Amino acid sequence: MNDFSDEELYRRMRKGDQKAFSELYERRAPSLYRYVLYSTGNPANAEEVTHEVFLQMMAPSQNFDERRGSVEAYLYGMARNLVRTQSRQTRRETALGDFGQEHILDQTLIQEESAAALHSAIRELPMRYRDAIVLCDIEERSYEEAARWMQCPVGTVRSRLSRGRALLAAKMKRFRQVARWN
Amino acid sequence: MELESGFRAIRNAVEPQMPPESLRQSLLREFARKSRLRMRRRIAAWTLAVAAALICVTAVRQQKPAIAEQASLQIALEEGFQAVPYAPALAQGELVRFVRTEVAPDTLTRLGVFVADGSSDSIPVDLVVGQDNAPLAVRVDEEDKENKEND
Repeated sequence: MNDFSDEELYRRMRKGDQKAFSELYERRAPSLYRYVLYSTGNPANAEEVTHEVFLQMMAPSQNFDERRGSVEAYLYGMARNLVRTQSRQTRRETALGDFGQEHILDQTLIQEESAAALHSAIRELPMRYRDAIVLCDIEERSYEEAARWMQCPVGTVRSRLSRGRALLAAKMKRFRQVARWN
Repeated sequence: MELESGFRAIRNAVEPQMPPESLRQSLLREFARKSRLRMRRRIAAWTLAVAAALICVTAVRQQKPAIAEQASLQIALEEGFQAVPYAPALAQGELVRFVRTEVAPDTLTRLGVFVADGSSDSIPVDLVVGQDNAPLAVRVDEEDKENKEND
């Protein structure tokens, strides 16, 4: 199974091969889980999205088209849509006064205050800039790989990355100013 | 530079994180359940297809004799038989028989089959009869009739 491409594993999985599904999960679930963790900062969200992505993948109506991209990009696309839906839901709940457990990662794992502030600033970025920052700057993927995942040209990834960094720099500048006053 | 160190700190914090094993187990269970369901649906679909095919084959087989008998009646009419007027049409699958017998000419006349014969003696005929024994077609065997007259 290790020698098979993701696409071959997907085909086998669609025919009911549980080992192929398991192998695909082993290969892709960790990066999807981390992508959601970077994007939302909440392990519960990461678990939920990863679970939902793989559930959707095994649904009879789901048909991945190889001509449109890799399995990895297909899974990422589903995760991205789910994160977007979750973000909208979280915003609604926050507006209603239910703050939930939004910043668990910052409280438990990221000890450094400025890094926690940066992570918080990343989460507040619009999705298109956040994706570019998460994929290229944090996960250190190549522009080409990020472009495949984001299904946009490499030039767009570069421009989103540049805009995202500028937004983050501005936010971090404000954070430093506030920290100095305190 | 400051952003880079922040990215590194976030990466170092998140990279060791892995999805819980319970998630994998739950997905594998779900996959197995869906595979079983899919298999059952496939079996049901095949069963239905086979049943439909069997019904079709049976229907065609049942239809064939009727068609054959309709054809044999048609052939009989072409072979010099006269159709009995107002005889009921053959039902689907109804078999016909060929019967050789002797019938009085006036009986044939009552059936609506005209025989140019002055005598009142029975004459040899071939009959095509349905399963209810109702005559469907008649043929007067001229050769047999002459032989009988010579006797």
